[in-house]
Amino acid sequence: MIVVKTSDNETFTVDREVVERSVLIKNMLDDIGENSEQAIPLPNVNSSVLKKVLEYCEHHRGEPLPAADADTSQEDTRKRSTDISEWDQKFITVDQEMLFEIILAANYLDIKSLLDVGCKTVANMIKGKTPEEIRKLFNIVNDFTPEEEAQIKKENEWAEDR
Amino acid sequence: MVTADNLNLDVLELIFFYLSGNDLSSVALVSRSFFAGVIPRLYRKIMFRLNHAKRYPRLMSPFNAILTQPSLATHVRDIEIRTIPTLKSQHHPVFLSECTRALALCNNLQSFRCTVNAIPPFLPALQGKERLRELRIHANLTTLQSEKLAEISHLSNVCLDFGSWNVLDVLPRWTPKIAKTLTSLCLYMASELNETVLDQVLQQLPRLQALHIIGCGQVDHIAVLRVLSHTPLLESLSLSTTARIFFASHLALDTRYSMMSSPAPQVLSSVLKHLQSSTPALLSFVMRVPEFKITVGNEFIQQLVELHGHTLQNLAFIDCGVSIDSITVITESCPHMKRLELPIPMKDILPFAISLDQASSLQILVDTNVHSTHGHGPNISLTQGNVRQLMKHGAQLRKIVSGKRVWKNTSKTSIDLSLERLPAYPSGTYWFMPRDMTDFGMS
Repeated sequence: MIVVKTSDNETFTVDREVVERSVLIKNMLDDIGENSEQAIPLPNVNSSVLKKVLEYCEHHRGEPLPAADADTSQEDTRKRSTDISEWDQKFITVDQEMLFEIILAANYLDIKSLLDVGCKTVANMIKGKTPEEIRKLFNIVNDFTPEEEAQIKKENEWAEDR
Repeated sequence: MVTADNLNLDVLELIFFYLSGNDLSSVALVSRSFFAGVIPRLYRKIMFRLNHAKRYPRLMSPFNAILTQPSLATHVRDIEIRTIPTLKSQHHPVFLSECTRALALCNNLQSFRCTVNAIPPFLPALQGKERLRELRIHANLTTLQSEKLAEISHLSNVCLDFGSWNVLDVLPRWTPKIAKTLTSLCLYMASELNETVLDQVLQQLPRLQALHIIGCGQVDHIAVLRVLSHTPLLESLSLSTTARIFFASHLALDTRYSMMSSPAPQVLSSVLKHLQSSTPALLSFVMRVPEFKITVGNEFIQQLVELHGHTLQNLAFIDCGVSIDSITVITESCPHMKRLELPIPMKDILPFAISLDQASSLQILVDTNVHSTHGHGPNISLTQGNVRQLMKHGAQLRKIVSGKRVWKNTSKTSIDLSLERLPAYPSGTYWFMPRDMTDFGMS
């Protein structure tokens, strides 16, 4: 069993197989060796987020991890699917702040599949919306000047589907 | 508090990689941070199509945008030019100049495709691109231009459309330079190609995995089959016969004439037999008939599934009819079939749905019935009710594509349908190339 400690000083005791879905933690464990009693500090993750992340890792334990050097260049050039499996879909149905916290934690902990689920979810929220609707959705302030906005519109018009 | 606007740039880029088209231009206008995050995705693939050309020069071309902001060029991986705007029925000189100068700046370019007969001005800008791996061009070039083309190395995928004799003449001298990297070669409509040249070329390409020789009148299927001894690693082959053919673990048949009721002339069955003994396992089969009213012969289907049904994962019937009896034979005999493309028989929709009970691995169904809009009869299109019916019978069926519509079922246990529009630009691939399970995955 492995002990991890969150930013708000809570400790979690987890199966190695579960926690090793985080490449960051896996590498740490490989470095410090098998029998360390020490808790692994995760200063960028709080306990409520880690709870969710561990729930994800627990559900997906035993599944093959993507190869570290997986060549993404090919999939980059083609359109990516935003399909999300049923369990993941339920799991990621959380409020916006938690969603972004999970994405940041997955990015920090290097859990690619969870990061993908989070990013796909945000992408699906954006799909089909106008700039103004996107701003409203995420509570974003338009910080362009009208001139800049016009320029960007002109430069990127080619990318629109017609 | 974490909000979308202060997610770090890496994460924003990851999110936006799942978007395309209009969504990208919308995201660009949201805020500075979103704009910065979407730029790499926006400029990764540049496609210039007819609807762009029509609006040029009123529409600012992506190439002009790159010239205005040269830092954008580092993001460009793919360029695909399908149309070049014209001015007084000539290729628009300003556009060509913008385009070639921008191309010269794109040092990370991996793929360049231009199907317009206007390659010469691009040739200098294509030199020295170390990451360029894929090239598809309209290869109607002079000898000097062909020599220039032959200076490009490191390519893994080359498609030459309408290659002139000059290009074909240079080909045997070019291939040694790309022999180490080239895995896929496609010669399309090269009327001057002969067996001698092809033999010389393939001798130097023992690593080739895919070969597509289509519409090259002087090289028939027998000639192509003969030179295959040079390419032991071949996995995908397309070739032409008087009724055209392609194959290996992927086989595509392009039947050119079919006055008889069934376009399964003997040559097709003989190729199937040849395959049985020579290939590992046929995974993918595509067939096209130019006269779309024709129904593929049941005998041929029988033979196909008898010989290859246990391995086939992808089947596609384009521009041809498949009788309901044949469909039943297919679903019964292809237990691993994941993807099926055929004209969905609207008249026999119920028996068709029932036949899907047998297709326990089928995930994607693509309706190739696009021609009905040109026909005289009423254009019957798939309704949501039909889709539900089909999904109910196909246990693993997740996607049905018909026309521009894509139905998806996201639920494993019940039927939870969502409908999306197919993006306006499907990838510009040849119909005979192997299918990829991820296309239609869509963004």
